Amino acid sequence: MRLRGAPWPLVVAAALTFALAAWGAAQWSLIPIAIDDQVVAVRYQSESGYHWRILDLDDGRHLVIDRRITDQFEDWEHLGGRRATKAAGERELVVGDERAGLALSGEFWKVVLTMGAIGATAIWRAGRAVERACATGSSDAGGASTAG
Amino acid sequence: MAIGAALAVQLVFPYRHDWPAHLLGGAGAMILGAAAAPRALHRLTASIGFVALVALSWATEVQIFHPFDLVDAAFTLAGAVLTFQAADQLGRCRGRPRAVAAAWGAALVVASLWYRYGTSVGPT
Repeated sequence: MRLRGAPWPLVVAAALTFALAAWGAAQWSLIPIAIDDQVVAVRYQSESGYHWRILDLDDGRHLVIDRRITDQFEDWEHLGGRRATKAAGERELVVGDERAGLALSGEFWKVVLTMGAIGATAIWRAGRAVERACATGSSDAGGASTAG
Repeated sequence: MAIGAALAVQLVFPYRHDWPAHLLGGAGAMILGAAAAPRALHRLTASIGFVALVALSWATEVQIFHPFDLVDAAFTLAGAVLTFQAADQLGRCRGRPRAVAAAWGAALVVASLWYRYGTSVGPT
């Protein structure tokens, strides 16, 4: 990747976007999240098909979670009213007297790879544009590489 | 490039039609913002645009596209990342290129909203 030629604000923006996406996708697994609350409902995430569900908690949080988590419960559509507990970083969710193992899903890795590719493409193209402009002696080139 | 990236995202995630829409919307908003930004700020146009989009994507995710999902906001920002360099160069332009870019930016935002609300890809 041509990091040298790319404007550094773009590199920072791409890194921040990548970090947000990775952190957000990790939250689907519930691993980074602490929960000690009553479940209000577990429902489908209407627009996104099979891979995610929404966990509504009594404290007002609506967590988008991997479907794989709820599939481990016997009757996931009727978890409302039960207490859910887990500490941040823990790989097990307890709801009532049932337990579900937590792991990063395939969707997490797909998001990470896609975001990595998008950021790398943007930086590579910006670096190339600056290099090309420098090679042709355009006065805009220096500005483009140092802007921001 | 943003349209190509949105198509690629749709191919990778065929059950998430909202993510290509977020990406196109972010790209369009970045271009639109850069076209409207005063030329005096040209050195900071792209950076200011990106920071504004961080706030905007966060706010819209909380207020409009809930439940809040950080990945949705990240796809909006990915659109801004893809158009960062173009926004940077646009900040130095005046006149017609800005008008053309503004039209493209507005078209991308409208297209993203149409795709977000006008289609339903994948099971619901």
